[in-house]
Amino acid sequence: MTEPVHVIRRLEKALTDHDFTWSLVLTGEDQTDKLATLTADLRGPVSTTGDGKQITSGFSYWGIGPTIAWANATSDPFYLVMKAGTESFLRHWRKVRPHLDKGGYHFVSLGIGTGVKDRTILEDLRRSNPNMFYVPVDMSSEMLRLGTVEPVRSARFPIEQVLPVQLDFSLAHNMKELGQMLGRLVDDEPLLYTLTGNTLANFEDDEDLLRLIAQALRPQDRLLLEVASTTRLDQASADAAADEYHQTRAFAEFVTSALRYNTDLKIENERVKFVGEIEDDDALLVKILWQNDTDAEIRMGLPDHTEVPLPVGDTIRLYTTRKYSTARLKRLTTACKLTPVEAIQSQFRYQRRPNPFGLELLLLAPEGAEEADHTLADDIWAR
Amino acid sequence: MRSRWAASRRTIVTVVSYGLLGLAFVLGVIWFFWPENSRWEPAVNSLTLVAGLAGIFVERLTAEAERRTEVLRAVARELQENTRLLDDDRFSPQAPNTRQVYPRLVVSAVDSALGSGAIGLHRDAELVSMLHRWRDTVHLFNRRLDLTEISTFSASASAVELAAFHRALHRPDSFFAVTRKQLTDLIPKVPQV
Repeated sequence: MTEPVHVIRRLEKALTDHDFTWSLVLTGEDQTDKLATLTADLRGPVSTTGDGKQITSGFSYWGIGPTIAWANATSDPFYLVMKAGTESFLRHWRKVRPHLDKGGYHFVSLGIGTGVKDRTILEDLRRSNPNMFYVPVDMSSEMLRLGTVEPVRSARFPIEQVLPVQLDFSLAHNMKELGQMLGRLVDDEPLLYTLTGNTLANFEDDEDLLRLIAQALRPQDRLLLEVASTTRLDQASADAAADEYHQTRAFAEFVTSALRYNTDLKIENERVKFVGEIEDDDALLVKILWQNDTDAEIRMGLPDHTEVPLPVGDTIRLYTTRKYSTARLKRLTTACKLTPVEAIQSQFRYQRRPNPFGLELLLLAPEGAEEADHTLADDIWAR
Repeated sequence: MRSRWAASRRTIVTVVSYGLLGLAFVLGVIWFFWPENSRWEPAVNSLTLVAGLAGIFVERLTAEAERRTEVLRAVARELQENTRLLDDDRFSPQAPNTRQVYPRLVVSAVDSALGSGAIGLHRDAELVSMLHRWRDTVHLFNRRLDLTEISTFSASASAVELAAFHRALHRPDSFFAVTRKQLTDLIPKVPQV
């Protein structure tokens, strides 16, 4: 009697040279749970400062509506921060790349985004490891499909080496399971995790998320972290940071899209507030809120067909982002037991006046792994 | 052992030459009081001649010994100076991760010693071999300092790279550690003169 052939092995053969645009997604959790979480988050207490009801990170991109809104925002020529971010990433990546050239890394992209940065990384990593796997991870299957177009279809990365994973990696259990599954997938070969596009700043507890990722890293693994940075920490800078996101209509459409597609709330863009503040004296926090600034209570229908009252002044936090100071980044990496292997920072140059804002790309290794890391300095001082 | 034999040889030749001169002097005095014996003259002349020849050797051996002493003292002083340089704050593991110009090790006394021929090939063979190795090590060490400064003073050097150089310098198996050990091993091998 012959052994039954697993469907996944047959699938590889079945999909080869097929013109139809199949995409394979490994789903790690029940999507109804996610809807329940979103609903529960929107039932939060009344707050006039955006600290009650909220759409947490990940849900901003969840579903086809927010995904399309995100795609529109990223292609908006007036969204200068996005454009400057893509350009600076290329410059920064060129400086980080030598540290990864000889590693033979597999690539795990946490929060895939547009896939443009993933394409750059994939093209370079594949030169040293043609058999590498590309594992984009996102809570949104639509984002996974959209984000893999650029690195996989456009850059002709072999589809049989791609494993998209639909998972909310901000949950401790999920991140741990993902790390273990990837460990079994690649054995002792190193993984390069990336968290680019200032994704870390979108999480309410950024330190907690970074710690979860750091705990999943094995000594041979590395984390590429891209964050927005600031050289000034005052209220004027916080207001300027909030204004940065206020400038394009496409971005406003994106931040409201999760609320638009998951509730029956009628959204008017003038009710969306961009609030900048200084957080813990070492970062600028930008909260994007919807606020009931009418004279009457508004009732909002939720996905479970219940209603939530929104009293006058009540807010729903739609999006959180930050700009980090060097001190905050040092505090975060130290607290999460991560050691910088390389850190490249540059200021935005799209304005005439001096701009305190920029982007920083950090290549991080788990603590204790630096011994294995080989630098130019080691080459010079080797016996 | 070789050093002790060299010192004894110099002493023997000195004693012999002064002894012969003393004996010639005594014979000369005797000859003055009893000049009738015609053999006194060749005896005194021969002894004086032999003592003169021995004196040439005494002079040569003494000059060699003095030159060797000076060279070894200079080498010992230079090695002590290099120990002080390696203990400099800029090489300290506690030094801040900032770019800096490092002090260089010196080998001029060793170069002179090896070129002068003052340290004998047979007598100081082991020392000469160690000094040759030390000279090569110092050149390689100083070259590494050059490369470190070129890298850390380039405009693109980041704080992380500076930290990497600091870490690489103080690894237990780094060239810095090898150099320090070689110096520590060499110092006791230089004869105390």
